[in-house]
Amino acid sequence: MVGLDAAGKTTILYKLKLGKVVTAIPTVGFNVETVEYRNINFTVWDAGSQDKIRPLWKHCYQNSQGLIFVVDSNDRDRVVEARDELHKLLSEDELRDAVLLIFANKQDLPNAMSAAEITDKLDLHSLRQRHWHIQSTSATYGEGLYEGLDWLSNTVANKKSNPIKYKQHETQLGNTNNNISLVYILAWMWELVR
Amino acid sequence: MANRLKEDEKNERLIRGLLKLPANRRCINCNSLGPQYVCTNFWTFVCTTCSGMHREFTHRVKSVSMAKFNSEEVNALMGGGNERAKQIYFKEWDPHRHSQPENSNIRRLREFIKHVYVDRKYSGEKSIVMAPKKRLDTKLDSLDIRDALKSGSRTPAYENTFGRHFMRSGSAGQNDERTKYGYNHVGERRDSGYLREIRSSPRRNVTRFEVVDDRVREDRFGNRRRAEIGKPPNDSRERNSHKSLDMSNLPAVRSVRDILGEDVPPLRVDESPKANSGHKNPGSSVLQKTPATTNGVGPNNVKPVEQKIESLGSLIDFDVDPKPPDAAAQPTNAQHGQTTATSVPNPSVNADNWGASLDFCNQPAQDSSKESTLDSIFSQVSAPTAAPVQNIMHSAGSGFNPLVGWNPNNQSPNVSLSQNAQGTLANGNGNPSHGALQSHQHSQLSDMSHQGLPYNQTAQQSQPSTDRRELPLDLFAATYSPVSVQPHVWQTGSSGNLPFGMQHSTAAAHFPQQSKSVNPFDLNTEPTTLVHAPSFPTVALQGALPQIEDTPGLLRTSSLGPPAHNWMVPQTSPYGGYDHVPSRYSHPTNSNYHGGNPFG
Repeated sequence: MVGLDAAGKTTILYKLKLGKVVTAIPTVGFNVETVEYRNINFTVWDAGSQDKIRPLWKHCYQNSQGLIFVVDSNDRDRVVEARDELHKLLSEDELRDAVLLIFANKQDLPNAMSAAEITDKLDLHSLRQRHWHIQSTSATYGEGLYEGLDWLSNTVANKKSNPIKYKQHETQLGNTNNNISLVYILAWMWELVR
Repeated sequence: MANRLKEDEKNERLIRGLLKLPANRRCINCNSLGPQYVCTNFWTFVCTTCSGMHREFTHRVKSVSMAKFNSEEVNALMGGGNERAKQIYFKEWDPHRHSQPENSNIRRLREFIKHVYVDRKYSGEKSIVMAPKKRLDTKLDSLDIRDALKSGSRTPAYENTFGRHFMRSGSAGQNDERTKYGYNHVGERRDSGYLREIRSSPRRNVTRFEVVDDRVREDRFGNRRRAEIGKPPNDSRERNSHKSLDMSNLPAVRSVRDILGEDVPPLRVDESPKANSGHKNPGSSVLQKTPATTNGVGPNNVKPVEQKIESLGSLIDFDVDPKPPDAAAQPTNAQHGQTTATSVPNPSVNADNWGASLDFCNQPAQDSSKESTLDSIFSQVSAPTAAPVQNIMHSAGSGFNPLVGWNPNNQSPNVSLSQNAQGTLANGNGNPSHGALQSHQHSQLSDMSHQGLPYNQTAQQSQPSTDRRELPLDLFAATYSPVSVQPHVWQTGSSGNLPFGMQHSTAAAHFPQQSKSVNPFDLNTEPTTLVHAPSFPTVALQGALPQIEDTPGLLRTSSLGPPAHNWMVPQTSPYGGYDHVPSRYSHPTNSNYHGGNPFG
């Protein structure tokens, strides 16, 4: 999970993990938590995002199947910067196969941009070969977070046509991989049938 | 790339250098050592915890070590920093009464940051009003304030803001608890009282008036000038305009207060001396608000010395230039007066007196109880001292001429003077200065026959001295087109007002002094005797107060063919023609003087 600083990544993480809003301070380094949702364990890396430590992101997103990019919907000044960072990330080879979930966060603020607006600003429609989804969220109110995880889990699961990816997925998801594997196998069989 | 890296390094060095400044060694909020973050909204150095708090309020925070700063940010930071920020956001911070939150008390820290940067409780009133622009979070607060300002009754809003301010301060000092809030309130109220005292009660009044002026100004400007310049002001027009102005003034005044409240205090203090009563306040308030205009006028006033005619022109110019003031008439005049007064104490004082007298007439009229003698009017303007001044004036002026001279003198040199007069009144110079001014005026009058003429014209209105009227007209015409208009008004007014009473009334209402001058002989006696003075005040009162009706009846009986309206008209007409004077009059009286003001 990455995004510009102060986009709400840490708040989202701990809202998912603890169910409450924590007093976040600028993250130095990263926070890692596993979040269980619908019997799926998500290992979420929340990377600090001040300019100079963004290069460290790559240590977080290696081998990840999903990329959550958090945008501060209220920060119109830096949405361009967010777009640039996002496209830079998506050009990384490690994230070649990662599905992209955009959290248009801070929707509770009155001046927040809508998800559609952010879609345009982030130039998401230009993405090719990428599963992406944008989800309006409000971390402080817990709105939209689990909907995003739903999409992520479904998409990742559906995307498990790649055995290698599936392995990784299996190892990461641990106990829940049985269910997932069933789903995955079904999907895989469906593809074969097709 | 290399350059960029170099620049980044350089910027970081600069920032680390800034971190060594004493004020930047500690977090501005919690005083903890070694802040490592910069809040780029306020260019402050804050600790990690406070940086998180700031982010909750959507303030942008950058780490000194983990973020890149561009040169602009570094420059802003060098211009800012904790020391500067403390001057802004902790302006009213009293370390003895308030305590900074501790780093570990998150809740309190959050409250504190909200109070300081969002509510701007300690940064003064202005900031509160301005704050809305920047904040998203505090929109609610800002909106409330805005709404309050927008609402017709600004005074309440003003009070509310004060209340808020106090409340906030109290709360800031302590924790969130409501009980504490109440506690704080008490303390805050004290503060408010203290502030008020400093500002002085007059301020409030002044502020109100100022507000009116501001609103009126714009309208008045447009309307007045159009009427005056474009077309000779019709009586009805002027009356209507006055009424409209008055109407607008009443609500507007309050609003102005609110607005001015913040700025005014200093000005008020200077301007509004003890003598100034509520009425004076308007003038002072005006002065405060329209310093620029007054300044512009000021030069004119200074120049007026050139020649009598020129002076007249300058007077007219005044009106033209200070259009806003015209619209705001009294207030603007007052402002002018103040400004001029400052620049040219003596003349301005005279003018001030004059304007003050006029204003007083208008406003004083309201104070029927005071009996609105000229003296009383003056007294109102300058408060108690005013009355003596009037006497002085009379004695010095030798009655009529002096009075007339007053106006003319004031006008010619002091077109601004009239304005100034208000200001002086507000200043409180009024009492003593008035006497001096009067003497000055008299001398000026004697010196300047021209000036005398204009005044005479006004006086003439009351009396049928067409010659004088014509002269003024010519003078005005020469200098300004508006002048011609004015004459029309005058004529109408004068025609309407056949009897002395009319003259007096008109003169009194518009220019107490002038009125005296108009009926030089009668007036002289009147002022001296004060008998007439009462009548004048009554007239003025008529304009402003309901009581006027009674007086009008008297006037009419006395052969004032034209009702109060006529009075008003003549007054307005002369003023309109002369520029500021009328507007001023109308302003003070406001609703009552409607006829006089062409603002409609």
